[in-house]
Amino acid sequence: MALIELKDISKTYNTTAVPVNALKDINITFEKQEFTAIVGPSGSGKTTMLNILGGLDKPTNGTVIIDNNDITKMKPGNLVDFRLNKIGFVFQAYNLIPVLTALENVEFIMLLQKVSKKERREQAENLLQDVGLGDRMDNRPSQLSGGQQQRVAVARALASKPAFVLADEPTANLDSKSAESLLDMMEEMNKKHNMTFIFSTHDARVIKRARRVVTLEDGMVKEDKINK
Amino acid sequence: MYLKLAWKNVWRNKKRTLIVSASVFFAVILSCLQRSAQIGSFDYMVHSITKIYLGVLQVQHKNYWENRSLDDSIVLSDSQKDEINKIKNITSITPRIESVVLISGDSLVRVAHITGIDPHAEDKVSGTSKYLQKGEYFSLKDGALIASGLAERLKLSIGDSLLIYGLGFHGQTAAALLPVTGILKFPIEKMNTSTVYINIKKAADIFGLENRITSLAVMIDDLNELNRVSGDIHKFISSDETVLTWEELLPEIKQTIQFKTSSNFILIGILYIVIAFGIFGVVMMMTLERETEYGILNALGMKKRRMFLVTFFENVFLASIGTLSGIIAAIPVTTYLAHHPIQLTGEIAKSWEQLGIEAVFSFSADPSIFVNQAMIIFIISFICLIYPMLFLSRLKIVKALKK
Repeated sequence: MALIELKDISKTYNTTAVPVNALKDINITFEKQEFTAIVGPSGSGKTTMLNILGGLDKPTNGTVIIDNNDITKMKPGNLVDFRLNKIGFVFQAYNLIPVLTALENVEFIMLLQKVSKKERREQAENLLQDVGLGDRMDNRPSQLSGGQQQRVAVARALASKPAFVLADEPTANLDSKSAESLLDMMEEMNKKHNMTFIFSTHDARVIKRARRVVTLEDGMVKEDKINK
Repeated sequence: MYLKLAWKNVWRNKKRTLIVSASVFFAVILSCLQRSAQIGSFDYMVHSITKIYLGVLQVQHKNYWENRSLDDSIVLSDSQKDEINKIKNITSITPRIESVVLISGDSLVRVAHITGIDPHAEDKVSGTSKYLQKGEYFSLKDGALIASGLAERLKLSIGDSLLIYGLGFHGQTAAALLPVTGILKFPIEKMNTSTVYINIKKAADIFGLENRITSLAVMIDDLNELNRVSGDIHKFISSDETVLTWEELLPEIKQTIQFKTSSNFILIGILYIVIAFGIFGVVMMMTLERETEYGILNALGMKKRRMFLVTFFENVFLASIGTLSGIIAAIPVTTYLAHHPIQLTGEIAKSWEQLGIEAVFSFSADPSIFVNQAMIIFIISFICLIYPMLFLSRLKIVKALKK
């Protein structure tokens, strides 16, 4: 049974005079422990697909089944809980809470899950150790480099023990060294915690490291290949 | 952690928070002082009028206050007075015979307001003995106590004779020659130039009133109970008699208080409207500048009601910083002024005294003043919460993430 199944997904934006078909009849599945890159030129539908996968946006047609749950039929409140418990997010611009420390940022997700203070502190510390920021726990985002902030974002995404992590162009704002280092860390997490990672990316380094590459073009899957 | 997050969010832009807190701080101090002065001076005004010469309530004949005639005097039995004295919140009562007479010293004649009093009962109601400048107060029997201003005008001193000439009960002539046994100095100029006190029994003799009185002055310990006490007194008096409150006896004072209170409320209202826009501006900026962050938090799994809770805490902190510091600063100032009232001088003092009010500008340190200011600020900040509430309810994650 696939972890994620997109059935006949299409998405049309009616915000302009001419409707824009961002996704057209997408049928695709993602299995557990995948390390997948969704690639394609600008406007190909990568972000729209990621938003629909993450329950941030609703498709115009079709169903999204995640862990046997049809998220397209979920009420908004339930969908927020579903995202909290099943999906980890990593954003291009890191998007950490600027007034909280690295440790507090990671803890925050577990606070939303009502994890006890002791447990969430312990887990957050372990996760930050895992992403190589054991000595930066009490630093605020503004005191961390871009690469370090993205590592905290990954730790935050993993803190809720999600079914999979969605990363929207995670290396776009990073230099080569930081990007490589982040990918190493994510790969390790993928292997160590059997965590599923799905990226949208333009970055050749990410594409090279991904084990599966899905190429979108004009809102359709042009190619779906396994990297050797 | 929500509280911690809210507190940290408030200080994201320190300068902005400090500016809005400072505006709330000064508004609270200003309005606390203003309300303290207003309540204090009005309380003192009422106290001054009721304590020194009026009483909080008066039992009179129903026509007396309009006619001021001794023919509209009343008879209250001892048992009636006892029953009235037992009413809850009444602290003291005193019978009076009041009339306007001509008085003369050696060769000068003046119009005076003469009051027949029971010295002990009157002292409990009005504290008259403390105004004694010379002579004796409590031994008042066949003599007269005269206000110092009047004594000066008539060139009278202790031991001199005072001639009283006026109209008694049913038109009979009222005349007497009394020795001056005491000089009183009142804080109110009008009283100081017109008041003569004699024993109530002597007054009854002079005016031919026997056991009649013109009024029974009543003091109570809680002005909020005024109407209830008035109703209770009515149970023990006849239909020809009535109970008048100080507000009915001196409606012009009540109107003055109401007018000044209303105009002050308008000024304070304008001040708070300015503050409200300041708070609203900050709340709006804090909301708009974090649209992406709200989108991220919602995407990560934070429900909108939790985000609103954090925003609510932010507002409480924002309002509390200025309000609490304003109140903390205002309390010692108002407390000091409440214990050290300002003695007015010059034209202002004269105008107050013409109204029969002691020329003292008093302040109040009533806790309700501070509580009310805090409540107003919090109500304003809660009203300002409508904006983030609407904003969050309309938040679209995808749109917010694109910003």
